[in-house]
Amino acid sequence: MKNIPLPTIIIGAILIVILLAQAFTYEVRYSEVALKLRFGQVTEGSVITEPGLKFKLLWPIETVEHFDARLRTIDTPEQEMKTSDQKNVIVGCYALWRIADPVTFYKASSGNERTAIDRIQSRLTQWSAAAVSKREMSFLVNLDEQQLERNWEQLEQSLMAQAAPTLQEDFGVELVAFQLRRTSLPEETTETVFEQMRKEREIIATGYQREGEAQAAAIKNAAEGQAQQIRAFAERRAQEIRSEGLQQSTRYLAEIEQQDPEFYQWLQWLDATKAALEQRAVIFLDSESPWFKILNDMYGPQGVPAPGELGRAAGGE
Amino acid sequence: MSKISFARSRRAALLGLILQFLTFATLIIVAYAVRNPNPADPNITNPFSYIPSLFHLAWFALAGVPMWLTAVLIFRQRELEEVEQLELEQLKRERAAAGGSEAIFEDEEGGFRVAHNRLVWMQRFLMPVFSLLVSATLLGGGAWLAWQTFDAGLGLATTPEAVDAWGAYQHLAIAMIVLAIALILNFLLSRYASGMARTEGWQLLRGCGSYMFTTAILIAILIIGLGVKLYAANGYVDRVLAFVIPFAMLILGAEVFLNFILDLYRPRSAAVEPRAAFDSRLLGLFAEPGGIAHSIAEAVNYQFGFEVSKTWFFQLMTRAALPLVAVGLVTLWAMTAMVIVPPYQHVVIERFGAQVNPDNPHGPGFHWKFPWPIDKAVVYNTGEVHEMFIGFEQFAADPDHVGGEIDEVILWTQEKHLNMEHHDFLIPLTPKEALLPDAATLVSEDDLAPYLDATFADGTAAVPVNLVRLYFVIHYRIDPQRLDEYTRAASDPGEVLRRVAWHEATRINGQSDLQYLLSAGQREIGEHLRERLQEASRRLDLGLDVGFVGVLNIHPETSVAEAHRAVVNAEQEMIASIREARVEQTSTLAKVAGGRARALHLAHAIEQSGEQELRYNNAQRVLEETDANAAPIARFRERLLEFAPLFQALERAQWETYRARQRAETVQEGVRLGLQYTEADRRAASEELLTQERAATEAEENLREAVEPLLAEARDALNPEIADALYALVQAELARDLWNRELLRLESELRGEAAALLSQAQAQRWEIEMSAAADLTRVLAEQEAFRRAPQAYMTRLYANALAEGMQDALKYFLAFDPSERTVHVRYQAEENVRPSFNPGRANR
Repeated sequence: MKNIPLPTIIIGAILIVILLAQAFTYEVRYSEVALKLRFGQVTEGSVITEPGLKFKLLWPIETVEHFDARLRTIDTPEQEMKTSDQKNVIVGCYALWRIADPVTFYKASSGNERTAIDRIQSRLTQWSAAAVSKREMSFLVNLDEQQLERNWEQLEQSLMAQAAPTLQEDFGVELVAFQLRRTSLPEETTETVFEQMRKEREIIATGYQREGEAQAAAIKNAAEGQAQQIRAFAERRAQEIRSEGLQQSTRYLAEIEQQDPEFYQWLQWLDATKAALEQRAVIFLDSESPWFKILNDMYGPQGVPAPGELGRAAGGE
Repeated sequence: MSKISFARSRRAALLGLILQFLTFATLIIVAYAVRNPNPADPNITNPFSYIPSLFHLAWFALAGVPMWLTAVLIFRQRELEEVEQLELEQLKRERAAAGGSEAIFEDEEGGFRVAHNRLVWMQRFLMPVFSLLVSATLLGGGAWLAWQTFDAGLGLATTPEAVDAWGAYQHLAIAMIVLAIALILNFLLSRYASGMARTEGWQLLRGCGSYMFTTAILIAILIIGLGVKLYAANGYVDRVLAFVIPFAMLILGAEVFLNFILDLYRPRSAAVEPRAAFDSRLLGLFAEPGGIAHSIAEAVNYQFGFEVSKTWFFQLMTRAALPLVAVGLVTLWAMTAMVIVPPYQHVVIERFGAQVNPDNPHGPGFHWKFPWPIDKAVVYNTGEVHEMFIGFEQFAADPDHVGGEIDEVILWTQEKHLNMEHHDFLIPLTPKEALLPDAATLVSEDDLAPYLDATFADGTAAVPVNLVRLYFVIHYRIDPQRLDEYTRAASDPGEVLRRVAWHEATRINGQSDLQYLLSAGQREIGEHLRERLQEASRRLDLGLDVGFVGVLNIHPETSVAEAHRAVVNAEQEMIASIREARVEQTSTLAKVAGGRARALHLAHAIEQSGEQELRYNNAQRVLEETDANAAPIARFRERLLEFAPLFQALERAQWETYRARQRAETVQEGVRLGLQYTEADRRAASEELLTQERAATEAEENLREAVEPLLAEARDALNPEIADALYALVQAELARDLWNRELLRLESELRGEAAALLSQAQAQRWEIEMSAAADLTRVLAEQEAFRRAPQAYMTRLYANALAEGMQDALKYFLAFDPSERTVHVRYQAEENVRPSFNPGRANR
């Protein structure tokens, strides 16, 4: 021993202390619950929930299992199922859980936590499928906000009521939440829905088209009607104005009537004849007409023809 | 040293070369063979088609091949040099025996020693070049393997997900046997080579041996790792090795490169055997653990070219090394008692696993704790804003960066956003009544029928839901005030939050139709979700502060998005049609009355005037048909007319209301059609309408209030029917007069066709009047002349009239008496008109 240098002794001592500490102590974290087993047996005080440094006997007398005691998540796989109204829907759920009874959990998992989680997941999947298949699609998707809130709450409560006691008993697990995670549709159904949505848009587009046509027609018709109304009004007013003129002219005619109506008539006829001849007229004058009469009677004038005699010579197109 | 010795070292090097290459090949084959391509557990995914640890070790082994190759070439050249040396000596001896001088050989020695020169060249150039090759293989290979491993998202976490990510294994037992054989061979040859390397001249084998020895050690660790995986179902050692090997390669590569650089500055000495840069000093420590101090001293001596290790300083350092290392370690341990917290973190101290200060975590600054392993400082990033995306097909989709690619345009018609596929959320059908916007109300049931049939009637085939694509981002922080909750409540509070977020998103979409989501939904859903998540965080004690939830995009599936665009187009077309009609309306009204507003005003006045006339006539008829005495009726009428100002005020107020309503409708339509009106105009017009409506109501009440006593009296005195008719009569009369006055006023302002019509009538009116006046004047003026010489006067006028009148007429003179003849006139085209007659007798 005398030959062994001091540093070596110190290092050796430190190593021995570390090995002993490693063999006889263990640490329980604040987030964990530990299970101390004596020869694999659960004994009184096996469950350790208080965090800190703890002592145990040397392996293989005592062994310690650690479990995370905090809230954890389990997702059920998203699987296709039929609702009670025969609609196919894909539903995935999630559960929040924590280990409440480590002994039961340890036993149920036969030492492998993953095994227990797999078993719990299988059960959750089955329960969620059963719960959804009892309900109609409108139970999951509904425009009535309050109804939908009630539906989802009811679904969660029924899932919890079914799952929580069983998991507590069989796995020592406390279920905190068991809810829908997400929903979707199978691919073929998705296509049908898209087609449906496209149709919906087509209807709206048609609506706009029709509305445009109808409104345009209404505006044009109204405008035409108003224009007609104004024209009719103007026509009526024009008639009134013209009537005023007629009324005024009657005053003058009455005076003519008092003066010399025959002369006035003759003048009017004369003007009318002149005006008529001024149109494009073709006139045949035969040898008996007053024009020739003048030539015929060259040797003895018989006077000018009377005004009425000339009438038969006039004609026109 | 004999010629045989170099042949031996050459053989050893060749054997090493072959073994090193075989080791590489074996490891590669085993790496692929051990990968199970079809794992039974669907959770297990294969990131590569090989096992990372084996694959990495194979590349490590490959880097040794150039070392052995160098050794083979150098030793072979040594052999040749030796033969050359012997031959030269033989020649010298022969010359000497023949009595010749040796001088000639001394002078020309260089020229004759071809093999020696080549050896020197190889040592000067070939060895460094191969060393660089080794360095490049190690650095390049190490970096590539490390990058690949990180890129595949592999880690050393022990959660089931992290372990599953490493993939599935098979044939582990066979692999272990193969590797054990490789281990034995590598170990034996490396020891053999290292032993030989102690002999002077064979030092080159030291680097090769060390490298092979390290390969053997790594194979041994790998066998242990695979064994633990096979028998204890724990692959931790294997996974650690997969990370260690690339980093070891990087370190060795860097060392070889450093050796190469240092070699350039080493004093050259002919007596010293050159040491290859790939002869790793680090591996030397492992390969010869018994002689660490010796290895260091040798390396230092070699670098400086003299026996540094014999100097007093080096001796002192050697003696003090152990205490120094001890002090260093103690210092390091003591430093574990100090905690420095940066501004964005908080620290909770755990004493043997129990939290010391969960309610009062250490904030930024300097703190003390007991040294490790008593206290541990657990760091939480309380300042960092964590980000989470919800709405993609991948459940836990967190893109590395968003908005990095700012030049990317995000469209509804893109199948992917942020390079991820969308999840299609279930939403309720749009209700029939909400299917069409307020404006589009002209779709008949016939138009809807195909849709309704497909959607509702055939209950089994149709799906009573729609789908929408929507994704949102959640920003949350770990609340430093609630760090105890954060640490204690859940294993991974972020993952709990993610599930709650999906749940809430699915629920909120399940009650929102597409119309809502595409309009107000985008704004409102984010805030709604934030409140819900914040509430969940409190309820589940997650210790997270959800600061922001923003919906980044809501849109239908791509083909449906196209249909949505078609709706927008249809709406635009509708607007265009209405605008076009408005233009035509303006044109029509302007043509008839010189302006749209004037025409509308005029049309309204005409209508009102007509309507009041009708009312007046109806009331008049009632009064005429009654047996009541006319005198009291006339009296009441007179008394009612005293309230004329109030009647007229009501009529005016109603007119103003009408105008305000017209204006409000025009503005409303203008806003919708995107004409010049703004939202502010629309509000102003609505307010104006309200004001006018109030004023009209007030005017009506005023009138009623004032007239009511009189009416009551009239009802008593006459009878209620007569009283009402009388009231209607007065009201209609006053209103009619008012509108007629308005019409008169408008008439003067009239333009367009109506104005033309009126002015034409005006002209005709004057013409008629003036023509009569002119006739009178003429009669008065000419009758005197007519009375005095009627015949002459008439003849003159008559002849003048004929002459003037017939001036332009076509005249045909028939130079016979037509009384007994028939004259046929055939009318032809104007220019060809000729008389045609038959000169026969009329009676024939």
